Amino acid sequence: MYLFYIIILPLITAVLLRWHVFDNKKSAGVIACCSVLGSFVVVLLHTRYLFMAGDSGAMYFEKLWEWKILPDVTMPFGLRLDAISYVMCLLVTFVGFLIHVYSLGYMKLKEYSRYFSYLNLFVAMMLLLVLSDQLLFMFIGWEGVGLSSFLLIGFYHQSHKNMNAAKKAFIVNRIGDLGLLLAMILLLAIYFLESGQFSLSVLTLETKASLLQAPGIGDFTLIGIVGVLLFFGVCGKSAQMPLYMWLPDAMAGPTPVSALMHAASMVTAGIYLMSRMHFIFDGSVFVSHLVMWVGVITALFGSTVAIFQRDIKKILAFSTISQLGYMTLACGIGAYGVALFHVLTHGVFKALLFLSAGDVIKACKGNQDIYLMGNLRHKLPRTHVMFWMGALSLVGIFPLAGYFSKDLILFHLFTNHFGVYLLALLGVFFTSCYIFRLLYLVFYGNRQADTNQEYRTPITMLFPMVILSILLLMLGWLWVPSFLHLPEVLPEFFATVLPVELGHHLVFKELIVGLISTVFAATGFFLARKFFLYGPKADFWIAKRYPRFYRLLSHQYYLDELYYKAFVFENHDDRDPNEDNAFTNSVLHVVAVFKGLIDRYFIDGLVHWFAWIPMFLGSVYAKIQNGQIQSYLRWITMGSLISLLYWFLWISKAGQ
Amino acid sequence: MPALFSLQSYLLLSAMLFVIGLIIVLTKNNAIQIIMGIELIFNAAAINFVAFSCFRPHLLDTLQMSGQVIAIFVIVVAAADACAALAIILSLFRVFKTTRIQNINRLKG
Amino acid sequence: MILNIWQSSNLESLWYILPELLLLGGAFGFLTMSLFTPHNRRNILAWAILILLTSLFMAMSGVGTSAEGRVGLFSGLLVVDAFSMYAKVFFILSSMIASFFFYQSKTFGSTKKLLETLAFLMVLTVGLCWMAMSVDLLMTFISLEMVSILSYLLVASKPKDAFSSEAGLKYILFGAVASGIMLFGLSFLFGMVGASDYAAIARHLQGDLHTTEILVLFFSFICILVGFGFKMTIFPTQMWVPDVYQGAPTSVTAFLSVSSKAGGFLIFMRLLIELKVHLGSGAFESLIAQIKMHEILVFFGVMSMIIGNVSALKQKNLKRLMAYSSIAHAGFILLGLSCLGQDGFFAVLFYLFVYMLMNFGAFYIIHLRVIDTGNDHIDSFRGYGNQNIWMSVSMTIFLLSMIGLPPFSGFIAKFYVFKSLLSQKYYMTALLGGINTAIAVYYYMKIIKWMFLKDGNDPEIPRYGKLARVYVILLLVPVISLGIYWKPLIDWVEASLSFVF
Repeated sequence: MYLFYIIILPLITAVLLRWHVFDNKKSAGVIACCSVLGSFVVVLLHTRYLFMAGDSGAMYFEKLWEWKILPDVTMPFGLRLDAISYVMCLLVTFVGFLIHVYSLGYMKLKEYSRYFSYLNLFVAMMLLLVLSDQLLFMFIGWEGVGLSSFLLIGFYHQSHKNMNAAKKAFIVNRIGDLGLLLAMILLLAIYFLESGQFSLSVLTLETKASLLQAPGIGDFTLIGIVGVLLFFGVCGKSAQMPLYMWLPDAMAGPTPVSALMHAASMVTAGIYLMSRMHFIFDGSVFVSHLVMWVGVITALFGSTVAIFQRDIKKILAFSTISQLGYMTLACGIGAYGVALFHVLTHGVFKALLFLSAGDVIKACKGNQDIYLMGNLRHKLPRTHVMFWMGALSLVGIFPLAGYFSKDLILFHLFTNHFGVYLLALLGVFFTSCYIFRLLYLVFYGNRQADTNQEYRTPITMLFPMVILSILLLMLGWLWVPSFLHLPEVLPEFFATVLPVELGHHLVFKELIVGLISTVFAATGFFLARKFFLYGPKADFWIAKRYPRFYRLLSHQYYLDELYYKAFVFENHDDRDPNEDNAFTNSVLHVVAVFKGLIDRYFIDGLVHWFAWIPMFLGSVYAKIQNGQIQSYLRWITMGSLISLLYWFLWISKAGQ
Repeated sequence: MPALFSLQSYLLLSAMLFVIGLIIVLTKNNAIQIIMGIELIFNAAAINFVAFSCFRPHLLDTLQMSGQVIAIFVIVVAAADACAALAIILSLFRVFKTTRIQNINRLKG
Repeated sequence: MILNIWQSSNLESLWYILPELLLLGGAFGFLTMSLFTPHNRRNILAWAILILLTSLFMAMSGVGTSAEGRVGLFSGLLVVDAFSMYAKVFFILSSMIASFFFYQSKTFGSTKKLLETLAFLMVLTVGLCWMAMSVDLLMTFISLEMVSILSYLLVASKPKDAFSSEAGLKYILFGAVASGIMLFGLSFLFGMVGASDYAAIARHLQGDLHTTEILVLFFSFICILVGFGFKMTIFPTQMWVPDVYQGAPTSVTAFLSVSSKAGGFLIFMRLLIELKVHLGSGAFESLIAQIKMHEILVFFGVMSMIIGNVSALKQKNLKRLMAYSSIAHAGFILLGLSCLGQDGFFAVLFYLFVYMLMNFGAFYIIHLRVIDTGNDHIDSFRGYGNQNIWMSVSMTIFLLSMIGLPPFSGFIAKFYVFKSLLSQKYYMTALLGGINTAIAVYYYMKIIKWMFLKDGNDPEIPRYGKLARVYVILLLVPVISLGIYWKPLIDWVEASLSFVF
């Protein structure tokens, strides 16, 4: 069959919709939904290929064409369906489909074709990213999702704030991409150094044990540098610590977009890349430790900042950052299968949370400030229930999906890195704090939010949320703790591609870990309930009692101000550091200054130097041509004598 | 017939004349002297021709004296050359009032 | 390859050189006319063109060729074949163009002067044709000297002009020394071989050569190269070119830079062709390898290009700039020649023809400008674009063709040279040729810049006669059309060398 259709279907739909072939709301939306559904179906149809491969380990490879760059350098472009990409494809297409359906109900636009076209483009690019078997083509998908995120965040392009957010997202992504590109080039160079020939086959996404023998000094190997650069790219895409700032601002886009991209798909591309290139991270202790620490710091950062935010979507954005930190953490300790499992579950429950938030926002007539909300549980009962489910899954309560994935991460930490385990546990506590604060402030309390009285959640919005919540109940059982002696579906599946530890977890340890994390989550729950059940008064109380602490957290540790101070050179007016485009402008400024220097001194310098040589030679020759005929003749005589002598010797030497 | 002077001596003579002519051309300041030097160069070559034609007869050379014929032509041409040179020096003299060529270098660079 | 040359008797040989005889007769007629009453200048020009045209027709219609292929004249001094027909057409054409140029020139303003000069021109043409036809050492020397001496006189023909006299002096001193050295080398070649015609030389060089013989051959080869190179304006002997081209009257410069240069190339090619025809390809290749002709020619060609281009960058005098550019072009042509193969020779002949057209065009417009402004500094072109758009556009086209930009014929010519270089796998040399072409863009563009981007300070708009405009158009049209459809020219060139390959 053809894997190719998985990508091409949404891509063609995107093009057609962008050209306004279907302009009517109904037709545009329906066609878009159908194309994503079609991709999903095609993925399912390929399932049997995965399980009949037998020894070769559950992989289905389809070569599309061979790109002849030079006569002896070719690059085969193919699509690979194996355990990882299969799971990711299912996630992207299914959740994508659900969100398309949700958008039909949520969006109220004048014309829908642009929106759905971008959404489909995003799905197509994400699938290309996940399915391609070469880093180069994955990079196309990588950039493609960056582009789609720019287009979608800036969808309401009339507003400056939105466009600034979109620019910021794209630029920060690009900064990360620099790392990825350098990593690719370095891989090519390493391969060239090793084998003496230039080939692009090193960029295929499979384990190359030979590369691990690359030269280096002690632990500081070339592969380590590749790993660091790759991780830099991952930070850009998955909003890890130095490059996280685009994600909160990206909430300027429509809510379904946030659900799809910044919960389920795009941000997980980094985790996907790390799983694919796991052998690089496994090979260097330094890099995997780096990944782990960055993950932990990001997890803590995200969860603590989210506690005092006012905007629903921003809270969920920081929550995403924090959960991505957990996934990164998992990759850092070598548990790639676990990370991917968390990607799966996080995709489902975060999407559910975002979709519920979207419902709330619509009900409150577009208001996103939770201080102005309250007591919505009567107005939106079903949404209320689903939000509960999402929240419980986020903090990891049995038997919801989030419990299993988070528990696995914590378990691996518990056994190997106890200090980090404690930090992660702290993160669980903070997670529970912010999500339940959000829950209580929105749905409980006795202040009535200003709502749209006749608002009823449309079925197109309700249906995806219900499906997602059902999934939450079922998904967890794919990877159960081994002591339950139930079939371990997912780990065995992943084991075909990744180094996954199967089985033999100690019963006692598992139970202890699960219990402790539940206790921490419950602590947070009760704390939040105590403080926020009746409204946001507690926020103001903390602000008064511990003003500095409150301000630190609510200003995101003043990191924005730090970036501003570090990178922005001119301060023409009293710019507010929280101004959205300050960072973008500062980045562009740095790039422009740097580029200007190179342009002026290096490139222009080179050109001037090239031009100077002939001029100089000309002035030298002009001195020879001095007008005296006899000096001309002398030059010739001397010159020909010397060259005659030289050539005589040359010829007579050759003659012997 | 055994001659007192072999081919080498004539070649040596012509080589010496050639070098002397060349040195005159390269170092003398007076235009007319330079023309004398040029004449020497031409005549050195003519001696070469004659010498070779005498001492190295060739089977295919029907006349057995090609070199001597060539030498005559060389003399004629050298004369024509000298003629032209003198004409030019004359016109030069009319303008510069001197035959010393060291300072005639308005065209340079 | 037609090896056998049918030797004609002396009387029959006269028949074969009838075009040249006509030209000589015309020259003598002009000289005689100059003794009598003054005539209308225009008539003189008309007569000159008529004589030249007639001899051209005679040459082309087969008076000078024969059905037998190659005919030897005067017991092996000259030969008449397709290559010599190319030469005859080339030189007579260039003399026709030059004669009009002389007519226009103020230097030859008086009828007496014009008559003399046209006489010289005709004899020069004869000498040039014979240069390309000579297959004997003696004839080589005679025809070379014929051309040289007359050129010396033409250069110094401006009365009471310091520059012209100085240029003439330099030309004759340099030329005489170069001819003398060449003669010396020829004498050793004669001595080694014993006979003076090329066929005998070739036969002598057929077998394995002793080291001494190779050294003697090499020495005479270098001396011959000095002599021929002097006319070709290439590297060791290029130092006279800027001074002489600057000092001589513009019309003479134009003629010299085309015909004399072509004569030098054609006489050298004739030597090589005769050697190749009589030796056969294999022996020829080994001979060349033994005296390292490839490397030396490439070295000389590259040096000429570099010196020419690099020195032209700072020139402020138009004629000096064109002189250096002609050195560069000669170096480029020599690179094409150095391939010593089919591609190379075709490229050379093609380039020479195209060069004739664009060089005469450029020099003519320079000449017009010099008359207008009175000086030959480069800024005499200042603002020309505003004053006379047609002439400046024509000048631009000539210059662009000299740079070698498509769609003009200069590009095709350069392309053929590059093609021959690459087919011999001289990659480095081709790269150098490319770099030099790029350097050359600068000084040609400088002229264009002065024409179009600067305002002139001469308010008077120059007016040119109809003849001048027709002349420029007649030169311009082939430059453009050959750049687009050059098949006729290349076919003719290939036909003239068909007997060699």
